[in-house]
Amino acid sequence: MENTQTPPPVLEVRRLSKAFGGLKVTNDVSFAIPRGELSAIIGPNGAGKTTLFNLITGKLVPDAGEVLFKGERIDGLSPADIARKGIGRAFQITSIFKERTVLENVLVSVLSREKKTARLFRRATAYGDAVREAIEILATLSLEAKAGEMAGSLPHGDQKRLDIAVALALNPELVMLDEPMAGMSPEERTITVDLIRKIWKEKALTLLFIEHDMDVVFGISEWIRVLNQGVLLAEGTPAEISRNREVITAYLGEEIDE
Amino acid sequence: MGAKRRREEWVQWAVALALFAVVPLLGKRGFVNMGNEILVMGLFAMGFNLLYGVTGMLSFGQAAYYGVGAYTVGLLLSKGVASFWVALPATMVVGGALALVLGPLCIRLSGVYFTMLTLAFAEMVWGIVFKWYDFTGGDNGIQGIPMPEALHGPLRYYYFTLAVVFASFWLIRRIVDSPFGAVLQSIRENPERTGFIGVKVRRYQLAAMVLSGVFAALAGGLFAGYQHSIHPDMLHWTKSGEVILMSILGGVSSFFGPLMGAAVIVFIEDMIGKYTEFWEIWIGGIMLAIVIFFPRGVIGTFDTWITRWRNHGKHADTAARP
Amino acid sequence: MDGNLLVAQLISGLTSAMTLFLVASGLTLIFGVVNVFNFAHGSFYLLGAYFAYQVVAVSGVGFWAGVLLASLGAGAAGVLMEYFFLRRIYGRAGEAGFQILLTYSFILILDDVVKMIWGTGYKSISKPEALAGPFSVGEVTMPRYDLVVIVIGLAVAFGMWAAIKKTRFGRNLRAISSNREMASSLGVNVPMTLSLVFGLATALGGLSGALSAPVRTVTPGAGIEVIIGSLIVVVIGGLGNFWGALVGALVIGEVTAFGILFLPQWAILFSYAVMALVLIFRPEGLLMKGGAAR
Repeated sequence: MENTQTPPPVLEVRRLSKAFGGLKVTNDVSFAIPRGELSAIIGPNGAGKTTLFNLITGKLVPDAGEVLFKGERIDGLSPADIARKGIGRAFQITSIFKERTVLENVLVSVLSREKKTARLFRRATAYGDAVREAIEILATLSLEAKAGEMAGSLPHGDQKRLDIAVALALNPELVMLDEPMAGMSPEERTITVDLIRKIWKEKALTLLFIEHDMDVVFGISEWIRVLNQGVLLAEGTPAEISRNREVITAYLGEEIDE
Repeated sequence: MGAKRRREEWVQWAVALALFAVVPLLGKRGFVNMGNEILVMGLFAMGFNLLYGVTGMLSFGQAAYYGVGAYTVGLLLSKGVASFWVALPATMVVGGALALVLGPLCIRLSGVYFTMLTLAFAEMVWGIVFKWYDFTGGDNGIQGIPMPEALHGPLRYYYFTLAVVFASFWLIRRIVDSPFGAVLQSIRENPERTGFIGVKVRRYQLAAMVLSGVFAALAGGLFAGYQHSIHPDMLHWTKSGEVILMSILGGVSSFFGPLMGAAVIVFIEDMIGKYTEFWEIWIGGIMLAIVIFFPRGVIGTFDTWITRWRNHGKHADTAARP
Repeated sequence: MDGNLLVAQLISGLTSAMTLFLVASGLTLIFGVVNVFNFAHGSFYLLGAYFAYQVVAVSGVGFWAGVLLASLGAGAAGVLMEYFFLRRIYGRAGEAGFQILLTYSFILILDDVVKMIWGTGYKSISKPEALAGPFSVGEVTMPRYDLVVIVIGLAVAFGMWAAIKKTRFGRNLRAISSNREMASSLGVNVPMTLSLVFGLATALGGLSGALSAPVRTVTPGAGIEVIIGSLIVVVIGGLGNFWGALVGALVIGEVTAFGILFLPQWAILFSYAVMALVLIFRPEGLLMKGGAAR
């Protein structure tokens, strides 16, 4: 735009639209996420939040509009290509490799990032640097003690964190978490929120998450975007959003603490 | 992970190798023959399991590669075009090439449709071999395939097969443990997530098909050498079914499972063959029983029972693991 | 090339298309509603053919009564397989794989059962007398029997479409195929409906076998040929698509019929070629809209 010194936003979505049958699930959505922002996307059920994530990460192809990552168009690319460009995503319904150990779950992601996956002869676990890195990532999510366990046998909260770890192993610049707290007990939530904030700070990530838990959303976000029925209703600081009439009517229905 | 499991594995390998090495010393020609067949089918099954147990792709058409491998050896040798030492490695090239042609077509669809496509294209290959009388000998097949002097006699051929097969097992093991193998297993567990970690899933699925085809063709070539003949039955869909049965009987998630399954099935088929021509109903019955009562494979299920019994005995205060 | 010959082949293609359609539509029905890929479907075609042989050629029952009995027999066999065996694996993790293995085991078992009861030799039935001769319109002649088969095929197509669209049973089927649990909570007796649908579909397969018996010799090997033919039809027309099964069957019927004119030895390869083309350019099938989601 005017100031050529500012780097392009990490993620920019322009007039993004997607319809299923006759229903517009994503309706002309536009926003830009600056580097380093910790932001949330909220909205009532069926607002199209996960669909938005799917459009950004390549699982769905938009009917109209563009998605730009660091100034480069990525709409239409495959999820694998987009992941390689630097977007890591965690899933609402836990998406891990269940009959593999916790370590193997993260290790394959590290090896993929390092483009070592065509190697046929050496044991994967013999790649010392990759293994060390995988364990470090597990440690940032407090999972390193369970490295040898089967992912499918972990309690739900650990599986959700493993899901995040697999995404982090890609060393992404943009991390997208879809309801990272879903199904967790209050204690687990607090732990996980702290972990997420710590990781965001230490790795200087841009982090975007979908959440329903308003304490979490208003607790850590710098910026909030509200989706309702496929439309971007409003965006702003937590304070602004909590006072926004439309948001309150559409979604919250009662007063909330800031 | 770790040294203990590594040592346990070495023991398994040593025991397996020793068992097979000792068979001829038992004196009976019949044992050597059966051992040879088990080795060949074991290789075929292990190659199949690379696709099914490791990558999660159920192919019902591996017989095409097995048969094409057998015919490569059979045709090259009977027409005097090449020696066995050239023909056998050639099987791997031919098997891989066929997979490169058929694979991309089959991978276009997933799930049951993938399975059915593998069957359909295998039937097509069988049909071509069956009808191309002038080239392949059609329904008669080709008999009297000459073997090199160095491999004359069942004993020599047996040990040759043993060496080739176990070398292939070692290769397969390396592949499964490698980063490439880790990706294949991720694809089995969660193909969508594997894409999201930056992997071009289809490419790896095709690679798995090629590797599986290579080992199947090698097994076919070894069988042609053992049998001194080739026949379209080697490409018949029941051959594809047989190798699936061997893998699920032995257990698809254990490395030597398919080999053990091969041993059991070869033995059973031999027994059944002596008493009745109606072998399909027995094989079908065994498969039905496995599917309903032993979904983890018979050997896999016994393994679980034994582990549970051991754990129950040792750690009565800890909860049993599923 | 003789125009009459072309027309004759066209009709011949239409006839085989109808027999293919009957089998493929049953397969599609089971896959869409019961969510099972009945790999053994060809075996019910086989049972229909052998039952018809047994009842018509051996026991001397009238042809059409025999065809009806054969279809019902195949249907009953289907219900038994679903009720006593398939049900046990519904809902298992990795169910699709088990379905294939289970139905495959039935292919083997039924294959041998057929051999045990009727032997491995070729069996045949004669066409009913009234239909044994040719039928002429102007210069074009075709076997009367073929005409009847075509009519039956179209009647079944129309009947199924009407039943699915207009009857309560059809509504139940559609409910079950979109959401089994919801259908159940809406009062549909899901298990019974699944068994009925399975029986209906296998009866159609049996009908096809019975109708084909006078035209093609009946051998145990027919089962797998039929399932592959159906698969090709379903892939070309569109997975799970009812009209796609008809379109696919027509394509394959005609392609094979004309293939026989030009390259009789390799006519079967034409169907594979068409399927390969569809897979490359439109893997979701000819009748499906747009590209598949990734």
